[in-house]
Amino acid sequence: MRDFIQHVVDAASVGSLYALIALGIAVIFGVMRLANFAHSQLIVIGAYAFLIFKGAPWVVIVAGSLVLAIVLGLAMERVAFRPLRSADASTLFIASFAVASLIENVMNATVGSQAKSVPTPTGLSRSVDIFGVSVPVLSIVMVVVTALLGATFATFLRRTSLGIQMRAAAEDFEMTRLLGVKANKVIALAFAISGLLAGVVGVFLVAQLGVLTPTMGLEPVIVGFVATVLGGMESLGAAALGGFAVGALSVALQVALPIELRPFRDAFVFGLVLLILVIRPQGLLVVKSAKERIT
Amino acid sequence: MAATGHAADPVAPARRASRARLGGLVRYLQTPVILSVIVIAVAIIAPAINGPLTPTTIVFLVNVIVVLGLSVFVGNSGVVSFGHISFMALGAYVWTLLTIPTQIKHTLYPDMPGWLAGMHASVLGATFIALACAGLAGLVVGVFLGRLNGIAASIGTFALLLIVQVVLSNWDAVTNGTVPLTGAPSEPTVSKALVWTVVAIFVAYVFRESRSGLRLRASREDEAASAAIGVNVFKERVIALAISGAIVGVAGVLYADFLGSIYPGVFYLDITLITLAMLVVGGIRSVSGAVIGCLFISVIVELFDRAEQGVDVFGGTVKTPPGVTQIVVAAVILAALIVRPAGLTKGNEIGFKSVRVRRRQRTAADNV
Repeated sequence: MRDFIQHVVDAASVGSLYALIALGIAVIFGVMRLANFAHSQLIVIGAYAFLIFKGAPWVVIVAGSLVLAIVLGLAMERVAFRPLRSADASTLFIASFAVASLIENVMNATVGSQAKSVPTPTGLSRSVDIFGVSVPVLSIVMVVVTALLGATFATFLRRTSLGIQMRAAAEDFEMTRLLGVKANKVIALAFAISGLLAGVVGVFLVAQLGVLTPTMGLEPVIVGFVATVLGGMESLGAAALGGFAVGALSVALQVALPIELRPFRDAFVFGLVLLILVIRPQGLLVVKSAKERIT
Repeated sequence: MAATGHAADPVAPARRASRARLGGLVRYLQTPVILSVIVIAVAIIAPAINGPLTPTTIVFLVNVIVVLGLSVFVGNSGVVSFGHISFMALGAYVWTLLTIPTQIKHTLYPDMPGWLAGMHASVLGATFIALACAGLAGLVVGVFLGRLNGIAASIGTFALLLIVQVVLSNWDAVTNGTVPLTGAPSEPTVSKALVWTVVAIFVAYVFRESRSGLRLRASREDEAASAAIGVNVFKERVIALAISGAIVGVAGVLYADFLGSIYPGVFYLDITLITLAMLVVGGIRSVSGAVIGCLFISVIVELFDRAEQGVDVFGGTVKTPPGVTQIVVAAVILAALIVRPAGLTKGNEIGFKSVRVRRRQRTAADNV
């Protein structure tokens, strides 16, 4: 039982990380059909705030993370993705790889490609005892922050004018524009939200690992893609749920797989993507407006 | 089209017909021949200008083959695959594992399962086995993923790339994990790579112009309409993926031969991005685009790699910091996607049009 609770805690904290990434990817996919692989670099820049603002109070560093990630998100939208807005989804996907490569190599050239360790708040690495299970404070913070962000985001989408414009744009972008919604504003907003979420993920990753590398965002984002495919992009809530599902799945596989197959755990997680796509060949990514209409 | 002659032509009808057939064949083959000549010329001239460039030349030819393989599927079907490098990895690993001499396997890789350690094939034999394996893999992948479109297909094939990466990195007994797998008889030559490049050019071109290729291109332009006139889109995609996988598999063999030792990281994101970029920059819709795009990006990479090592300009040495090449390549890809989305060739094939074709096009343009 104690083991089980331990695993649930693990799954929840890993899952919240993936949920935040999946949300960040889905919010952009919704408005412009871009599966943004460069999301990984938004996370990385958020993490590197720990190096850039080294020595400053933690509040400043975390704020720096979020601001940097948001600014980079807006910048990539303005420079790379806005001119490509009418391109098809696959071209956008290639472009996002190029953007990721561009930023990664700029970082290699400026801060270097080797891993750098940075100090992290000591309070987070402690553990507390809950019902005899030792739970890292960081896990609790991650789950709570994710829940709060999710709730705030959901309220924003439902209650505010901008949020409703975003939901409308995700439903049918052309129609929304015809009704007077500013495309540039909605898309820039989506990138800002995506950047904010990526910044949070960056902070969590550093707090977890204590080490920075220009490629540290890669694997979480790849798993985040799995989560978005799993949950589907039709609703942001589903994408976030997909994140928790992938977290649970990877912990479950880690426990359940025989030792000799454990190194292949990720292959099973990615295999799940293929399986889903094969079972639902139309893909979970199909949004109502993305379906081909024969005219 | 080629058979329409002038009524006043004094040549006897039979001879006229045969000459027209010959003209048609010449026109049909001019594109692959011109492309082959370009590639051969580059392979010969580049070392002559720049000194011993053999490694770069072979890498260029390997890239050309990968991009040609990609174009067979991606170019004709319009479905962008992010998983083709898996076929390259498969070709490379199958070839390497088959050509490492048995005694070396026993000493270097004692953990290798017996069935594999005992297997051995000649360099050429292993090449064909690797080709067949990659083609078969393409067929299987096609059966599973052939119905996917657009971004779902891209993510599905990307998942394939990731799975192959995880398996290669962790199946220590067979692939030696992330540690380079060495011991294969490595004897790379430009001429060997050239022969396969020319073969790939012809295969890609003949497929594009074949019935199957035409049907696939029809489905690319309008899937619903092509299905309505009886095109089995799924079947054509599977065929194309098998051929395309086999071509990319051969590129894997040549690359393994060139490197001498391979590890999983070679067949991952970097090469996926650069080969896709070559295809898109050149123009996804034509075989010429595949070759031109490859040439274009390779020249840029070569120039900036040289600049990183230092170039003499007016007596002084100019040296760009390391990593600039990748930055420039990524920027060029983005710029090309934005400025010229149809690619450098805009989907046209290289070739000389006959006077008659040109005249007909001009009148057609006038009538519009």
